[in-house]
Amino acid sequence: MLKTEPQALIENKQASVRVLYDRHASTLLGYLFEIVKDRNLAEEYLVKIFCDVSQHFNEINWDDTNSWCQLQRFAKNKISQLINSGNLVKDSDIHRFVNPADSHHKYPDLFSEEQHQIFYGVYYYGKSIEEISKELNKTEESTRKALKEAFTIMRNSCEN
Amino acid sequence: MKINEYIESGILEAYVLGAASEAEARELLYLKAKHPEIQDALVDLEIDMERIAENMAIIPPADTWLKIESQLNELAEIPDFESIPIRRQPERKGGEHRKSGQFIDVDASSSHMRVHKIWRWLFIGVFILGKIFLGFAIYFYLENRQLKQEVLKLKTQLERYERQEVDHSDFR
Repeated sequence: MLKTEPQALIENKQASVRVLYDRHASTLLGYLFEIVKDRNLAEEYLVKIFCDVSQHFNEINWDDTNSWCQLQRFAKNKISQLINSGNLVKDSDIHRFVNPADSHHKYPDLFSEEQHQIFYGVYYYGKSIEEISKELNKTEESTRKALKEAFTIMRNSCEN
Repeated sequence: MKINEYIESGILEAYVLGAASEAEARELLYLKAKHPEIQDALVDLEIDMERIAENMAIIPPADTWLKIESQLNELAEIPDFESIPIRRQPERKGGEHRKSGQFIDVDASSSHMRVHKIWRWLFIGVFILGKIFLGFAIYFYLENRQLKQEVLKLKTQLERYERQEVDHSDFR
């Protein structure tokens, strides 16, 4: 029997989400864990984000940039919403997570305090360069430079 | 503007992470279209970002996809009609009126026609009213005929009395 059109659409979307899941689920879980610092909570958000991705799948432009960057942006927006709605952590509590000792990856040891704050603010908490510059009382140009330096450190560390 | 300086300024990193302002993003997209070096640098940066993130990966438990799948199936049971493409039917004359459901839809190729359900009650009402009026008409017709007969009878009796009266007066 032929499948009805809505059913076929749902199944195709689910198959596409499955491909994304197979490719990026572990990367996304690592990313979420760095934000919430709780394995169970990170897994819970992973499920929630993939369900949301499925619901908004057609609205995301997957051709424009690579799929990980799109997925990360989507997750970052979702996390920002959760922070703003008070379901995750208050903005003032974020600094609790910026402690390098809390992180399970090796990069924070290589960062200066400033690079660390800028990198975490942008990479994990979706802050804009303007916001961080104001917080740290720096020019936007120097904040961007510090972000680039942090990326160069990470890139070099990955290559070694 | 020197392209290398622009690439080294950190604006690409800010853009890829969604931390650039709207004006910066617009400028970058404009320059990206003009300078292939910027396009290449962006692609490299995205690949690097993916590699960096993969270094921090944590393998999710085996049943995570099943949880996602069951939630997706639950959501699928409540279809999101807005996301389903709608195929419009070809326009017909008076097609706008079809929405109201108050007009008779006549298909020329068929000997039948579909009408709104409300017409059934209207037809029943009209039929009952017709019967009531017919009953009244028959009743008044019979009443009228009877009255005419009585008037005729009375006329005949009156004439007879008048004749008898005349005869009596002649006799006197």
